[in-house]
Amino acid sequence: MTSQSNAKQERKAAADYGFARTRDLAFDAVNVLWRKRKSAGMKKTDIAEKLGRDPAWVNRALRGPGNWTLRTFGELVEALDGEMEIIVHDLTESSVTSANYDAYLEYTPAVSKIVPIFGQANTVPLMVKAKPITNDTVLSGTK
Amino acid sequence: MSIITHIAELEADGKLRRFTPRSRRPCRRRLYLSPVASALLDNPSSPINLLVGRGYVEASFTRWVLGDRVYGDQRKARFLARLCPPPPEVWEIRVTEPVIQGRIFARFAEADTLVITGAHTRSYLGAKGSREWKRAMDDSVATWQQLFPEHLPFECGDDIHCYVTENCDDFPIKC
Repeated sequence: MTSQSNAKQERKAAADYGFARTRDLAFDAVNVLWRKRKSAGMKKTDIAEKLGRDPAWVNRALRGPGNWTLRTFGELVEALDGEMEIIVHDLTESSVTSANYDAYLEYTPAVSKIVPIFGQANTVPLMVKAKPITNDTVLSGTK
Repeated sequence: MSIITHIAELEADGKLRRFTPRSRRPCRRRLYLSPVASALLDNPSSPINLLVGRGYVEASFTRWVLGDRVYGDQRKARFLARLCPPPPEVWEIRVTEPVIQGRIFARFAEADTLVITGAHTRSYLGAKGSREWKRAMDDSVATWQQLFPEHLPFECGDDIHCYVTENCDDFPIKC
């Protein structure tokens, strides 16, 4: 595979990642409100009726984020009597890794250093590879 | 030696890679990539990268590690599922977005701690119970045994909340 097609694939991976995360977070946010409504007695058929949708559509949408679009998101927020708030954080503004190790703390052999997954800087998804302690690799976090 | 110590040693030796998404949010669960899984995800020509797409796979890893909802219902739709044994304690993360779906094979080292042992396209695996499924599950066990010859995977009965301690739907995992 050529470096050009590799670069193309990297760009596609970043775009897919951004899309999938957005969709996943929308699904999760709607589900928090759905669980609350459900515990108060709301049924999926109530949502279907509010939206003029087939109950099967509502059922599918609340089962998983697989086919979600912005329309799905907006319709469900409305039907659940919610209000969405969207915030996009700037990851370049501060160290994004400093508080990122909570669950890994007791598993960490030494201080680790983040390296990009394919050695390319500024790609969104990152892997961490263990490295021995050096003076320039310092992480912080709380247990 | 505890499995936590063993994981730390494997990571220090470069035999396990932890997944840490670039996020402001702290990690709530752990996910490690075996060398086999690393090779598949690092190889731009692997079927999982070409057909499913690494972006979708990593988004599912991010869901896990950041502690987002592990969703699942009483039927079949779920993010995480335990595969029917034998062999026991082989799990899959379902990457369901693209037309060609992905199945990421994993085993639990502890509660909230997954070790990824392999990845296949759903189309390659075919119908449940196929030879390909069996081979993929056996490969998952072999990868585990290479990494953890002295440790069995975490086993905790049929309660999903024993494996995933927070932010997880109540869904059945018994075959």
